[in-house]
Amino acid sequence: MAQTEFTGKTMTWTWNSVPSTGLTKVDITENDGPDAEQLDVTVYGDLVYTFLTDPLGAKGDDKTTVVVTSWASTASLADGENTAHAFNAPQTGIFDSATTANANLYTHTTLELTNRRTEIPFDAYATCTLTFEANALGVWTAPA
Amino acid sequence: MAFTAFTGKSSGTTVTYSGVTLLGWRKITIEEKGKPLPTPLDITDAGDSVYTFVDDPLGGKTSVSATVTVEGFLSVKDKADGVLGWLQFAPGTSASLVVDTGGDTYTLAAAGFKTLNTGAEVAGIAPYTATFSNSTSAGGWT
Repeated sequence: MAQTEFTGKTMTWTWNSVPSTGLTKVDITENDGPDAEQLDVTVYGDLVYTFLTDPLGAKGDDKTTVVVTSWASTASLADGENTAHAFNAPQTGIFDSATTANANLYTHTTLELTNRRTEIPFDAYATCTLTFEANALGVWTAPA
Repeated sequence: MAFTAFTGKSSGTTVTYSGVTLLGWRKITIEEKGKPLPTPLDITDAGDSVYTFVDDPLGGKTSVSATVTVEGFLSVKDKADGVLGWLQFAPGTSASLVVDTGGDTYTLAAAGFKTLNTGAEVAGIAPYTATFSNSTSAGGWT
């Protein structure tokens, strides 16, 4: 699929079927599990160090972190947007750019909210930053 | 339910602690934290050919929590004036903190007054940063 230039203007983010409005940034970080450790198997009498890749493989899980930043409304809770999410309740998060044909779609079924940051400046837009995390990776698809 | 961006200025946001309205604020940051993710536990046995992990069946350790940071300007005479109220409270105080945005309202009960940092005054005004926290509650929006 050819790269199609896009801006965040058309993107959407929903969690537990609740859309976040006023989006300014969605940051999806997908981390593979760590590499297998190098085990030191050097013994007395060896002339050089010898390392062996851990035969059991790598320790640790894949991890996903999604940070959603939006401009908040004073009525966002009443509107059922942005602030209405519960902590530590894994739900499906979906990043989409639905107005673009064949746009990439990101789906993660076990994302839980772990942090909500609300910044209220005196003379600038208030910002709501939601952080979702999971010990597993989501899936990218390209629905027609 | 149209989205409406707002500023603290235009919405008339107020912050009160123990019923005292705190004036001179320039920025309020509300940080609510859920529990950390469950720790993956290593259940690899001798003889296994791969590592095996399971999420801690007890869930994430510790509890939800919240920290509210208020930044602004103090008058050097605020205590004498009796209008600002910050210096009525000493760090260590525990009381209810309420941020009213004119729409959604955030309340953190038993908010501990943790730090108050003030700088040197210029022209009778000094900057301050105050932090409040609760280690067992994230507060609530209504």
